[in-house]
Amino acid sequence: MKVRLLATLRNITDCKGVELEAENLQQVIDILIDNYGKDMEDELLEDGELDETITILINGRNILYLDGLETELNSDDKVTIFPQVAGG
Amino acid sequence: MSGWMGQILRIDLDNEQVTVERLDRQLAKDYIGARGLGTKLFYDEVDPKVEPLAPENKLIFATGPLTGTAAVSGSRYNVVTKSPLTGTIAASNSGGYFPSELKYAGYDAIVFEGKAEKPVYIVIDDDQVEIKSADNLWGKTTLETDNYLRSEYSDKFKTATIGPAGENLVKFACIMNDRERAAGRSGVGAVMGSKNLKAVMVRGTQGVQVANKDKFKQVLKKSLDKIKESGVTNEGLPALGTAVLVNIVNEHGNLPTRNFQEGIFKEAEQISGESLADELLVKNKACAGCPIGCGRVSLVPDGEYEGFGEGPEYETIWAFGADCDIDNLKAITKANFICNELGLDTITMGTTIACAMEMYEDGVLTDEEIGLNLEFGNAQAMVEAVGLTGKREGIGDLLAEGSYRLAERYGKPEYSMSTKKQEYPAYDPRGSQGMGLEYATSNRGGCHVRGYMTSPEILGVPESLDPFTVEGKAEWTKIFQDLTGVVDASGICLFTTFALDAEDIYKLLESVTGAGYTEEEMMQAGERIWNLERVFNAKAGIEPDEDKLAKRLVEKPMPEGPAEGKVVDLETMLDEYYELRGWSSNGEVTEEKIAELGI
Repeated sequence: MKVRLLATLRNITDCKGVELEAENLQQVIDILIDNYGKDMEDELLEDGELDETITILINGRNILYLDGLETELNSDDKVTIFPQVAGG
Repeated sequence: MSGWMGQILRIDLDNEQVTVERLDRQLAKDYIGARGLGTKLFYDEVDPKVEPLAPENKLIFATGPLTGTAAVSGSRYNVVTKSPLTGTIAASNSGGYFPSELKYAGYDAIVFEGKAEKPVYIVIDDDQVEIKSADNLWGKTTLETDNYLRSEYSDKFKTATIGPAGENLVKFACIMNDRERAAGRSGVGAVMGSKNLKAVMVRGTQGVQVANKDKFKQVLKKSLDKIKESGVTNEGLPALGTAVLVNIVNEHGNLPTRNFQEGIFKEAEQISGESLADELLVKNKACAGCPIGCGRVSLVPDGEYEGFGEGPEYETIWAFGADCDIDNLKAITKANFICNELGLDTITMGTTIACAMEMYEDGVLTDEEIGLNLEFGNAQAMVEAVGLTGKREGIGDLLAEGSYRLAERYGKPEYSMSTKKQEYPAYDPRGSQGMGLEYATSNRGGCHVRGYMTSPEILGVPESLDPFTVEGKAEWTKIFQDLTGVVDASGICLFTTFALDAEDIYKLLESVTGAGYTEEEMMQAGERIWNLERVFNAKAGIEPDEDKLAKRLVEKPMPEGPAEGKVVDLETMLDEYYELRGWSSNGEVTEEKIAELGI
């Protein structure tokens, strides 16, 4: 599946996104931390839990209104991850 | 007085008379300043039925008690008048350095009245005020005007000026201060142009008194710490500017595309804040006393869109980009630069072109009639249309009226994506229900900065709300609108609220003014401002049935993406909203509410 990374997360990955295989979001998080190390872990996690300033969308829908990190993924799903930002 | 300077400067352009009046302390406390104070002065002095471009309309520049202080981002002023675009009250907000300088010259506000016989500019040097001929400046761009004035006088002066668009009474002309900061929306620049007032320059040497310096230092430190701790204000906005939202709103399926026909722009990445930072960004730029620095300075080094200047920010990128189906970031940036030079609101400009593009696509506008191939995606035509509009040449003369009048002229007002004749900004409310309520109820028509429901619905600040539901949205919208009234009136930037809460703002306001506010009284002042604007609009003939959205948003389901199938459930939210506001069930401000707020 496609995982898109937005805003300052790209400072860590130096790319716009990655393709990976995962059955749920927890696996996506684990793979990203495995691939990008401590910087990614610091961005995504707070005391081992998903940092509340991180937003994750599955096909544009915030996981807060799905099943959170337990949300099951299909291979054609698009996952989007970004840190807290604002503007307007 | 502390916070307030205690003086209002009145400039009668008919008779070239200048007077200074004392600011009433209770009035200042009740309406705080800037948007609130300006609206109260305007309401008390001007017939709501006034023709916006007639000499009887007044133009008020008003600062807040925190403007020019060390309070975070205390750089703002509001321009208050009756809008030629909407017929509602207009309050356009801008930062930069001009607003603080006005305080340092000793004034909380300037009231311009009447109309100069010939073009003039005003020089304010502390208590010395001169009205000078601007014959040689009429027709000049905003940058040329600023260059001339500061070379003739001193770089120590700060300027606010109109460009050719204001002179030509383009209904969405803006006032540019400090070269490229804009009091952007609702056509305040056209009112300035109608008065033959080309520019105002100001220099001051006074300080702003702070009532409780020790307390102020404490709350200031805490505020700055919060700004530094927030990922929004310490990382996202400085690194990527407001355009950081392009990808994020698009991923939610809420980025209005092709005049709100769709909610996903497939080429969003090419016009994103990330791409802007990679390709065109020269440096960040901050307003006075701002630790955030969201402003962008960009360069297109060569080619047909060559240029250098400030911007583009999110709304501008969207209006000239996704809304016009244009993925050329250089063309978008060029359109922004032209708007700055001619003095045009980028949001209404871009969305009016998008409206014209859809009318062109549907054969309502034809090649022969407009002399321009305005098909969606035509970047060259878009840039050309901007220049024509500022000068009211060719099709530009039609576009200069804004999208509503353009579409209505052809008997098709449904093409205009606007409320109360002002165009919506860059969020499709079908995927952000609260934003739909905000658009419908904003006292200046389609607008995102009266109650920015995108913040909880899309960005999760201060907490996350489901963007698809309507439960509780009326209450959130009311609180956001009232708090925004306070923020705008105090003279600090709305972006501080991504890190600061109402209590922080209250402590800043009270420590600077020493006016004896309670936090509840401060919030009530926000409610008072909101209701006063509403009462003015009613007297101007803007009835509650104008609290509506473009048909497309309430009748036509979003065609694809995360919000597929959704429309805005406005009716449900509106009923609850009127009740929470304490208004009648059909949206009229009641006598009881007026009495309660002491309007």
